[in-house]
Amino acid sequence: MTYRWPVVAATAVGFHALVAPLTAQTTASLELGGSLVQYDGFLSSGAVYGTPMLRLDGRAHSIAAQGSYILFESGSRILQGTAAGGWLTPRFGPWRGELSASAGVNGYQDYPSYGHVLGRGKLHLIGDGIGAWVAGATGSSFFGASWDGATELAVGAWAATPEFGGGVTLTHSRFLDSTFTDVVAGGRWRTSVAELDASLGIRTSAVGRGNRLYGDIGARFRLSSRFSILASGGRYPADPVRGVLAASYANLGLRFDLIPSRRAPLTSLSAALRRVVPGAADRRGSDDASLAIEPSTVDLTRVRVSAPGATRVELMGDFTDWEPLPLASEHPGLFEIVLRLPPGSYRLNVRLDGGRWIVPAGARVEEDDFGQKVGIILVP
Amino acid sequence: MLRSIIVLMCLAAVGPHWATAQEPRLVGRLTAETRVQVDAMLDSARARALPIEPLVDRALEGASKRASGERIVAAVRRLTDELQVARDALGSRSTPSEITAGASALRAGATGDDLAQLRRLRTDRSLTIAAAVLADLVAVGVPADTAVAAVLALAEFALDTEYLALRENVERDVALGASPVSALGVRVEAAAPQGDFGAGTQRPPARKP
Repeated sequence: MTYRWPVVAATAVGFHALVAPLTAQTTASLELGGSLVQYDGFLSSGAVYGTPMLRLDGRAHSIAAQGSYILFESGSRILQGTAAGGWLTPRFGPWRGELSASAGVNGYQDYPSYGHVLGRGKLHLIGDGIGAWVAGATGSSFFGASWDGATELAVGAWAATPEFGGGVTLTHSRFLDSTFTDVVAGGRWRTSVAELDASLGIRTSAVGRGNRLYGDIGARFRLSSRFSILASGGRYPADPVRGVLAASYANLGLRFDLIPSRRAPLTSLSAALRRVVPGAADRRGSDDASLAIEPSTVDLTRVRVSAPGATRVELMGDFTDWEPLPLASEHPGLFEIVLRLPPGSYRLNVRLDGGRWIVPAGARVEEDDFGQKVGIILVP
Repeated sequence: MLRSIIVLMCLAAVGPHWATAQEPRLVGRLTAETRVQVDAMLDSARARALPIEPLVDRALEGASKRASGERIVAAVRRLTDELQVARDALGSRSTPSEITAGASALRAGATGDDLAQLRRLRTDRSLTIAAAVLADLVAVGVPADTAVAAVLALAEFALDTEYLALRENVERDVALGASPVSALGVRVEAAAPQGDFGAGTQRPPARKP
């Protein structure tokens, strides 16, 4: 049987962005591995692949480019490349906008290439560890010299914790005579040495060719700071906009981080950064007393200290010329004082019943210049 | 008589220029020898338009903690240097509270370049809270360069209240057992729009030949 695969040619489209050098970081990686893939309507085939990736993240911009070279057991080759760039607007309350564009080309041997150019607008609603968004994309897809318009509308919602993340998206796509809707639920779980991603989707309202149910699962195991083993498999649907045939696949690869992340990625959780920092516990204040700062009137600040069992609490700090100042007790174990404190950070210590000066919980603990500890509070 | 009055007036006029000004709050709190040295550093700082208040506070803190004069002088000198770096990085129009918070951020691990970048990103807004939150994040265990990156990433659009919320959320997460870095990561991730789990218009083809 003769396979009729798309033809090879790859292009990367760059997007220029002004990225502040101090906040930008560049990451690059190379993934090499083997695949077993079966496109719908064809026999399965083994392949080896190489996937270089380059990414530049700025404070409000991201640019990424990725290519894939796939060599099948028949000797046929696929070369594909995608590039994308995005810009995030400043945040307005819980809202934030995003403009992005992506382009890609994939080809097989000397057949005409498939490709696409899409622009996308996205509006985010962001909460505390949760969020939702609505997006619209429009552009063109081409096969050889033939260009046709494509549109996508999507909505999504997500939630994330330090270990888990998950979300659901609904995407409605229109291209030529095909209109279809995908509903996909995805999730991830990350630990210090492994990452697990999975998705499950269903395609509905399909006019034209497409899959009904699909999904995949992938895992990444870190061998060192630069090397990871990747394994994934599953089934993905046809994507007429990007010229991708529906297929089932299984991959096993090795990833080498050529330029590893030097700072915490601002838009993703990196397992490499999930290390517990020694000594963090030492930076907590004393459990004998806890301190709270709250506004009293327009320019006055109420400083409260909770010290169960104490009969007398004194405070000294930048705002008392470092002279002990007794706090009033309204209720047993609760002490407070109202001060005129302009916004800023202040250093202080607290003393219970004439004992030693301590840093109460609720204040940041810092080693002072005198071999002791001092508390730092922040008055907004 | 007239001659004596003229001499006194002349002495009064030139006095402040040849004698070191004495900070009244230090009187009785420091030994005479230590006070002279601290007063000289205060004069020097004043001449360089650095905020004086935190230096006096630092000397008083040392006095209250019964530190030696040598240690107090060293602490004031160190803070003076930090204030100078912070002022240079933040610009001459910076407020005393900004410079003080900047010095605190420097001690936490930020660099002068980081502060200058923060100033550029928040041109029209106070840096006091942002710089102080940076120091706070380091204090809960976030590596300094990670904290700097997070504060800078939010600098352009975040309100002071959002910085405070970030700090509180990270502290709470850490208190609940999360590692400081992952706590910061998820909080910044929440502040920076994301959420493309599963299908999206830019799905990478890497695992899907």
